[in-house]
Amino acid sequence: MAYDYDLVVVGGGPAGYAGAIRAAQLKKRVLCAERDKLGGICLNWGCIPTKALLTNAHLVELIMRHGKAFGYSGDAKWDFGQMIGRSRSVAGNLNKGIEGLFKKYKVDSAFGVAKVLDAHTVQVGDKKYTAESIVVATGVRPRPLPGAEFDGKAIISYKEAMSLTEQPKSMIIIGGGPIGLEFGYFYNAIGTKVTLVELMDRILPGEDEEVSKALLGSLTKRGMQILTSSKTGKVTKTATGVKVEVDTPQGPKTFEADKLLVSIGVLGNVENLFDEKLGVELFKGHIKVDPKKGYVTNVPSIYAVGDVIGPPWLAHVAHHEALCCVEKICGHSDRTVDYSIIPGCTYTDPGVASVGLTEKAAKEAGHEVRVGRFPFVASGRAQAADETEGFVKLVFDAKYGELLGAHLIGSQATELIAELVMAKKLEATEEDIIHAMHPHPTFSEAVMEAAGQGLGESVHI
Amino acid sequence: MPISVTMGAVSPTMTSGHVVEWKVKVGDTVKEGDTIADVQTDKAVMPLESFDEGTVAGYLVEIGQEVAIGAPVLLLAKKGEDVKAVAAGATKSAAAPTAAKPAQAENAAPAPSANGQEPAAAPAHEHVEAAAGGRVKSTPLARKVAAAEKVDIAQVKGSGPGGRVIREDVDSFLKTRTSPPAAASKPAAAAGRPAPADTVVKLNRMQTTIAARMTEAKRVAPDIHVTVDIRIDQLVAIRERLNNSLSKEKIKLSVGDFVTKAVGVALRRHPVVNSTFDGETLTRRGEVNVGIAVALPDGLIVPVLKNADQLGLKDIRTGSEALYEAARSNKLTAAQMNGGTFTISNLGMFGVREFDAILNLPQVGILAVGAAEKRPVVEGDKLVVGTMMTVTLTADHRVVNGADAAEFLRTLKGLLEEPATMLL
Repeated sequence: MAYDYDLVVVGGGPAGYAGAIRAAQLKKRVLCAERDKLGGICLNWGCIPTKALLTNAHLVELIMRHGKAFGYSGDAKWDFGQMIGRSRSVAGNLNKGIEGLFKKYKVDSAFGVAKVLDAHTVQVGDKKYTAESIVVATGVRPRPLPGAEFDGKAIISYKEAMSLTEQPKSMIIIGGGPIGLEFGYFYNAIGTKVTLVELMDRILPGEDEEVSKALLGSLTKRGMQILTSSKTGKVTKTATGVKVEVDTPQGPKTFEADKLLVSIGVLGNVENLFDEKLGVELFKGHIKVDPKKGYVTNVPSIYAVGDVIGPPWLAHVAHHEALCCVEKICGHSDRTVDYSIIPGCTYTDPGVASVGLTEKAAKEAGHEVRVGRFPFVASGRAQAADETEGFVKLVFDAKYGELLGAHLIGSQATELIAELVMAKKLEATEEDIIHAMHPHPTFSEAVMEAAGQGLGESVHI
Repeated sequence: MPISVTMGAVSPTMTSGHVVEWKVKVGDTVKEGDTIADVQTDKAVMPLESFDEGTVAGYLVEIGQEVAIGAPVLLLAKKGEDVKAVAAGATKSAAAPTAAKPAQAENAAPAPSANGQEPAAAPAHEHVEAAAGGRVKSTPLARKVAAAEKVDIAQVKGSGPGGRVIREDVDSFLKTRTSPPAAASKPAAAAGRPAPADTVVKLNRMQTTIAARMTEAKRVAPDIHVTVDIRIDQLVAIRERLNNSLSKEKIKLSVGDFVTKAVGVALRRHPVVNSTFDGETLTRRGEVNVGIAVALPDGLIVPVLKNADQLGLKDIRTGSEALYEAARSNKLTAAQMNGGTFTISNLGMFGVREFDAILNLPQVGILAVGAAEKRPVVEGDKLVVGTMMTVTLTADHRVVNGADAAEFLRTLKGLLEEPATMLL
């Protein structure tokens, strides 16, 4: 049977556009359907524009917090509108870049809301396209807080938080995961009074406990108010913003602010996506797939990748899943993402980055662990930069020196983690990390020193 | 003519060894004294150095392949020689002896050949191939696990990118290698719960060496055991004072450190105990080098604290600590293991009151140290509580008389009971 395309990809985010381009490279006729803008959340409303804002916050911090030590004596003024504007234009540039790549690789695109009608047909807007295979990569959206539904004005999600027209004087953030913390860091750094509420007993509950603790200390020192083990109760809108009741370990408290940012997780974009007769299997608002068979759903010609198939909801994971899926469909390779080696980053300052098992998880998995630590305060490069917060913590299996996990907090943590992802992927051991020469003076030496400290060989601590 | 680097005797008692990890690769320039490989000896993993200069043309043995001392392991092209030509010549000559070797009985563990292929031929063939092709693509972790488990990594099929052997491959290789026996011995215990099956443990090289040396000592040396109780109240008090003043330096002296010091001084005064004996000649050793037995998870090793009689307590502590660490992380150098003139074995930390140790030939004495503990002591006509420790000297009676042993112990007892006399 002749189909319009070999492959239709539903969604143009980091999974969708990458999968579409890869398929085109492998000589397939590809259509990518997108309801909004190519690049998805990541590029337009997530990873990239938030990093533009966070760099801005860091610049403000460098001058306001460290400036005096560096000889700055001026009276810095900051334009919030310009910060937001710059962030939007960075997203705009990259978005054009993907359009260019689609042209280069001859990937067709169709804009409009898509629906999978049957095993080989996708409707985009009012047009129908047939394809031998369909890859769904529709992503996720913010999960609303029951009783405090998003209104886009006082109760907002990350999308509004990065495109406000005026800087709020105060903000309450529900959720101490990466998104909540990054916005908290940004707004706190530029002078908004920030109160963050986390239900669990620590922020970044997925990270190593030592890291959570260190980040809590750093952000609190910067003036952020962080409440852990605290449950958000009633939310009421007021004339100027919101009023939130919070059940804290110290008893119930009430906070008022201009804005309430809810960042308590995400929901899969699966509504009205498939014709009911198809019977595509879902679980907890996500699409069920078999990663070992190229991320196929229970319908053999329909695949799904990226955030819409469930955690860890990370752009780099989505990207790799899409490549594995498409290469499998094209008969090019048969591989899956190694979910034990997924780096995770939080771009606050100090930033947080990790890969592999936490110390606790490693012990629970039955490993006899050896931990190596190195604080940035002992790094010459960090001293020179006046950015000495944080540390590198490496978790090794004591028997063979296998790298089980790496947990970094510090100004360069999110850049340094890549080396440890590579080390883990190539099964480098403790000695390999110590003996690999790291350039002096750099933050990266802390990685080598941490491995050395674990074996008692570091000469700098 | 190209040069063959041979397996050297990096440990005093080794007769053969195998390469655990190459430290140089084909094309590398090697200078005299460069470490070319880590070698597993009968005791530990030690660096093997080159005595020649040249460019590495190829490996003549594989990782894990047992070779006798003096056998060639690596081929160097001399200055001016073509590395490739040398390597080509080597493959021909190397292939023959490798294949002729009785196929690595301990490593080969013939795969339980499911499809009836000739099991004997397969491993031998792979050996030749690997020798010709150079290194086996593998990850550092996979090599480490393979070395620890005595697996010839060339026999493991790699599943990583480009056929690289990853840890999982070694693990699954080990599973297939060790699974069979259990199924065969199923019946037995008809009534009641079946008892756990016997586990057959093949001794590793270190354990084999220990077994041989213990037997040798008991067979060759008629030993005498002399025991003495020592009251160490003063020592305990001095130790506490010293540790208080050393706490800033994070150094904590143990009772064992005082014993080491006292043994060093006593050996200096009783040269007959500080000797080695080869069955014919007795050598009174000039240096007092005290070996300290260290228990390892799967064996026992005796690193040596050099010139213990001249060291202060602080140096004894830090020196011993460094040796323990090196021993436990398998990093002892030849220098740290050789040259012992006497040995101390301390089981005090296990609460052992007293025991006999077996001689560490060719040394003629070994001291077994028990726990420091409070015991009733007769002082004059009164019964008091004192801190006591019991030590037993095992001596080679061929050259050390009972009286020699007793005199040594009297000195030792005096030094430990009145530690200040060590200063004399």
